[in-house]
Amino acid sequence: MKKFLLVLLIVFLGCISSSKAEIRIDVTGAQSEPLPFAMPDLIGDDGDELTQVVVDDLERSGLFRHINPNAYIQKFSSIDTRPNFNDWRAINAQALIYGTVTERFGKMTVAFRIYDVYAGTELYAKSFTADSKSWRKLAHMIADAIYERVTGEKGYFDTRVAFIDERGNQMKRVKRLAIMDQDGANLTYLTDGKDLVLTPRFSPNMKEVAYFSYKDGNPKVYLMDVNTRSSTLVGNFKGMTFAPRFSPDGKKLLISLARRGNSDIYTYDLATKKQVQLTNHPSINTSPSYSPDGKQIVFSSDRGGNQQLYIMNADGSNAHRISFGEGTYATPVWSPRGDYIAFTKIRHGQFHIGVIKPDGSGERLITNGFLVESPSWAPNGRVLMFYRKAPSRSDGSGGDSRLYTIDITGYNERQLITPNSASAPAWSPLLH
Amino acid sequence: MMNFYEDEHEISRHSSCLGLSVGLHILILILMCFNFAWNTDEFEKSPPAILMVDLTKVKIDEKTNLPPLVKEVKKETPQPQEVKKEEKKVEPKKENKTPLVKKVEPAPKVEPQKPKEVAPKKEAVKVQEKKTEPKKEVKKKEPKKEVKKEKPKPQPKKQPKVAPKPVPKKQNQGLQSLLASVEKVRKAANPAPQKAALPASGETVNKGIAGGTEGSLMNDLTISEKDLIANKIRSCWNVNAGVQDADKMIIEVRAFINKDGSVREVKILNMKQDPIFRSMAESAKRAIYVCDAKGEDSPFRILANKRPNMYNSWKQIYLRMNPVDGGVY
Repeated sequence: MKKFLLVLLIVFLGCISSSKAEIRIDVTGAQSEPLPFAMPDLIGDDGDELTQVVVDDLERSGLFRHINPNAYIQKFSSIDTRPNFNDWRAINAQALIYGTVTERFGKMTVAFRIYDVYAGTELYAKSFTADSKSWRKLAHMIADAIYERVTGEKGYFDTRVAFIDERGNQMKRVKRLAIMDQDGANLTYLTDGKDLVLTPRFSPNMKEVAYFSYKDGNPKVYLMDVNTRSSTLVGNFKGMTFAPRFSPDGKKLLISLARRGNSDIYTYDLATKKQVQLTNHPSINTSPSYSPDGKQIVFSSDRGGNQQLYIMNADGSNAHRISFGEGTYATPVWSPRGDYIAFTKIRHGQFHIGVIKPDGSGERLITNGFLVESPSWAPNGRVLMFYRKAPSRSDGSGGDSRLYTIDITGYNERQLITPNSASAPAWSPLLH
Repeated sequence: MMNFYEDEHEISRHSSCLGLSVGLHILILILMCFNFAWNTDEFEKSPPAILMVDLTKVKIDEKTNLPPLVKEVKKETPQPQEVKKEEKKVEPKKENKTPLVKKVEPAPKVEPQKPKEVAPKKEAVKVQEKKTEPKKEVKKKEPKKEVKKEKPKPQPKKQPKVAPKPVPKKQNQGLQSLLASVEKVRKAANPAPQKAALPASGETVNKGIAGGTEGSLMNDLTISEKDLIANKIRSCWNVNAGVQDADKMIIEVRAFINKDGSVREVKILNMKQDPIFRSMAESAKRAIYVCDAKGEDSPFRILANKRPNMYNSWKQIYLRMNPVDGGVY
């Protein structure tokens, strides 16, 4: 009897376990291809132009691939039209974006929806309004919203870039301070080219640009108000100041001061004008850059024999080396998301752009060339901008330089179109 | 001449002494042979006495499922081996000790008494089988006939209880019968704990006998089939390279599959507020649907085609998805 009950119990349990049974599978690894998306022109006047800016932004990121509109089956007449997902699955659109644009009293309003086609769910619906003249900014804001919703990371399309515009023979190079949108539009020159200018840096509030100039024969760091374009000398340093960088809160400026064949790092308080020396070492200490939380500073120094990367506390204490690779390291820049430090590396006569973790691990070189320099982070810490210069000829011709963007993975290197040669890019924070 | 006779007499006396000494030597040799053979008998009969001791040491676990029992057996089997080692140690030291003989004699008396108690019988029989194994080693040193003489005693008892399997499988038979006997002893001793253990370990029972004909593996996919599905899903899963801390993201997904292999529903089991994780989880969910849209190339359609009788097993699929592997990332 006991045996019978036992067998009955086992059978019962077996039935239960089989009814609840499910297969368990581990999936490790995935593909990394641009996400195919469909975006019909926004319904309304000038909707096509606005749509094109959005599409260009997304495609330039390397994470999205726009499906040719000629392949679209469903046509939308209103933002309230329900998408027929099968039509979009048929063309392998994984995301669908559509909406309307209306203009009233000088204001432009864009309403749009984002759908996950395969899951058949709406991911996002939003409406933006801006001045009609700023329609490109509106488009960039939409692109940022799409990018953020689909990837989970902040966008970087509604941003600007400060850089040095270069023209003419290498012997008589004219360099001007310029700013433009991250896609190359709305180019504006801030200086006239009379004085040599180098290394522009945006302030976090975007109202000022710090840069190095030989203005009046005095090589110093200056601060320019972007709106009024008036420049002021930074500090009262005895010696040459260079390599400026704003603190994350925008209240201080890190500066390198060269004097008697030596250079050290200082902070300059923009409100109190107080300057504090952070390094005091008989070697070259330069190119300082704050961590996103403002608690640490990365800089380059040859105190160990050749130029390497070091990190110290914001007050100058606890300086320690983080790079130990072959070659020399320069121009370190801390990522806005804090996980990497970008740098320039010179090895075997070649220049490289690389990234390294703040603890000194995970060094990766992501691009190289005859001369690649001045890495600058996009505000989301996913993309780097730098310039690539070609060798010049003996007569001073050639030596063209251009701006490029590249993903931190080392993929999706793209040239940013500028009317002339361009160098020393500095990416602004997100504008909205 | 006297000298000659005296010499002959001495020679005859010497020859008689020689014959006597030879005879004595032969007698000694014979006695030695007798003693040796007698001692070996004693030695070979001694194991049953040790068997009795071992049987009492057999541990009975509370668990009723087979897998743990197999583990237990593995743990228990060394015990008789240890006994064998003890026997070996005894051989050189106590070859002629009579006490061993006395211990051996009661053993056969106990064996016939065992039939009265069901559980002890099997244990005794099994242990005897194990003892026959070490005899193989002994055989090399001793005549085989003696060993054969002992075997017949336990064998007739084994045959009715254990299936007539080939001799080389005696070890497995011994283990199985030992397991069975232990189970019976446990059932007889503690029927209640058995019932409590079974419902709790119902799944583990299936897992334990997975390799058997009634095991859970019969209702599970093979490793290669699981790999196939994982590879298919991996090819459908598109994520952004360079996502921060992607290696730490594990998305748990449950896919509900229709009988024809189409995907009915996909649920993310561990959704978080973090926008990056959310996007990653959504991409994982999307991967299942993208695979589903591949028609006959869908991993779920393949399941429906290859394993239609196992629908109950794959109608729900639990997936742990991590975007980082040696490849893309």
